[in-house]
Amino acid sequence: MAIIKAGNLEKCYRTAAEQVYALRGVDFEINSGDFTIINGPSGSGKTTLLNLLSGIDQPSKGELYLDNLPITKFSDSVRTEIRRDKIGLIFQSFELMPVLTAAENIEYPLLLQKIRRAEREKRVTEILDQVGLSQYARRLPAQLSGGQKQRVAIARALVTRPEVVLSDEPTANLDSETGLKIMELMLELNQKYKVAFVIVTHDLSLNQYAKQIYRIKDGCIISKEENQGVQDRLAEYTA
Amino acid sequence: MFKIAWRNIRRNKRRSFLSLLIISIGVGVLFLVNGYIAQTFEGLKGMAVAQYGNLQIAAEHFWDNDNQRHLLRRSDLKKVGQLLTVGKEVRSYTTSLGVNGIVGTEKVSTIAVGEGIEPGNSQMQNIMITSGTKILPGDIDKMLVGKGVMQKLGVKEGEWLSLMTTTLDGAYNAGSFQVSGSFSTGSTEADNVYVYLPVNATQSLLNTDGVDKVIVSLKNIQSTGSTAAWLKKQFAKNQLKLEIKTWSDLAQFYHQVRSLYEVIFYFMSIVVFFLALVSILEIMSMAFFERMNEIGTMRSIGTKRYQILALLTEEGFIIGFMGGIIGLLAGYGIGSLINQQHITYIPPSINHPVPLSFDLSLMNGIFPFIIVVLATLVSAFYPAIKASRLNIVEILRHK
Repeated sequence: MAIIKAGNLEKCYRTAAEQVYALRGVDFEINSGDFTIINGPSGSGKTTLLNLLSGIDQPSKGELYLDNLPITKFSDSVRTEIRRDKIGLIFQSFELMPVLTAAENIEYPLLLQKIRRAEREKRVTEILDQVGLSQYARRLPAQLSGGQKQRVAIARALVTRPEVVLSDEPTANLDSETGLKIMELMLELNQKYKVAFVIVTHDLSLNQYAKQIYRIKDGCIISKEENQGVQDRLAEYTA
Repeated sequence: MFKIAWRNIRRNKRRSFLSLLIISIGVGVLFLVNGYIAQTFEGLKGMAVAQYGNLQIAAEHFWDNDNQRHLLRRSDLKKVGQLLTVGKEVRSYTTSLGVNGIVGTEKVSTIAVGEGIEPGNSQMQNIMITSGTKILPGDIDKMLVGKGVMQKLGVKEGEWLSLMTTTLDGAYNAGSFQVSGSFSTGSTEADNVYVYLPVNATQSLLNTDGVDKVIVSLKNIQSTGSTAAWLKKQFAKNQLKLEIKTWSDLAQFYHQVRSLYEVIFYFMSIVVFFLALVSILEIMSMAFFERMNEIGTMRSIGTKRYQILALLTEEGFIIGFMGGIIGLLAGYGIGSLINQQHITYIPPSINHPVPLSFDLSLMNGIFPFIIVVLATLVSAFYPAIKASRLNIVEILRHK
């Protein structure tokens, strides 16, 4: 079942002198539980696409459905609610709130959802355990390593049990070994929670983890591949 | 959200300290100024009551300035006396009769604004004696003169003065009085002309058996209004055509000073409000600007605009509230310290030192507290609105 469906998406930035197309006629579909990587060089439109998918930005043209909801047609307030309830976001620079501990950072989206305290505590404990940070729950972001911070960010994205997790260069600020561990973790959580992951990256080495790989260039999707190698690995997680 | 707001305040200690300092100084200063003004008003009230009594009762049109002397009739005076005797709040009362003329010795004379009062009456207790004694019951030819009158005439207690005036019929008349002492009203101008003498002697000088008014002293200044209302009702009931005025109606000086002080206080409040507003606005704007990334992230993970607005305004409110409390405590501490030092000074138009003291009751702190907390809230609200309306894409692009 398609969790994200984009048709003829276009994003155009107008300046006084010219029109710059960040995305041109993008057709795109992500199914529930997919693990998708979007590859492309800098300036190819990866982040713009992710911003549109998350409802942070609005397309100039085209249609976009998230869980069958036409998110481009909603107000900012409704799109914020959709983001809160159906989307998890992971950023390149982790973007944790510096005044909150790891556990509190993870708990924050649940507070926005007005979930009861007991349920919040249960979910935070569970997800901290899943990302292997149970003993770091009370630490502030400044007291965590880069990899640990990204694990907290992943936990924060997943704690609301979203339909899809969108991630922008999740390993760019990590060393290669930690980056690969983070990818392994995301793949594992993708299988455990059956939540779709869409990762945009310029790092081709991450493609090994993807079930589908989209390549984007000059604002256009130029190819889509299925990765057979990862299917076998996914079987390991599900076994 | 409160937790996040509180931790953000603690996170930037120097900035929060600066904000708290500005707010607390503003509240503290306004609290002290308000406390000083309140204390001054109390002093002025006391002076006015000493001079005019709590209430004055006179014949109809007495205060009309129509160049006619409207005296209280004996029959009315008797009924008023009966009413005042049963008045619960009435401490005492005295009749009074004004006499203007020239007082002097063989060599020197000066204008006198005299008042005939009943010797030994408690209204006499309010007169501040600076030398000699009051006019005592049984004294029929004694005069208590203002400090300035005594100095002008160069007389001492026991010496004799003549008071020359005209009777109510317009004939010249004069009387001799022995100086029993001098007094001060607190006002230099008043002390230069005022004299007190027995009411009987005044009646004799003016060739009348009437009086101008009845001066009423109450047990409590707060009951002035209610007693005046009660008396008016009684006058109507007894068909007495009398007028009644409170000390507040008569004490123009008190109202002039009060208006002046109030203008000064409100002007200061406005200045402090804008100083706090501009300073805190600058600090809050900087604080929010530095947290743009954080705000962008919060928005992107599902925090609504109003929640960002609420969070940032809450930070402003916490700082304002805390600064306000600190300001009140600091103002109370400094004010108490000054009160204990018994510092005195001589204000304009007053001829004796008065204590520099502050009324540090909570009521005097509420307005400064509200005004400065309001300034903080407004100054936090503006950048908070701007921050909540930031474009998430722009923030994330520029981080």
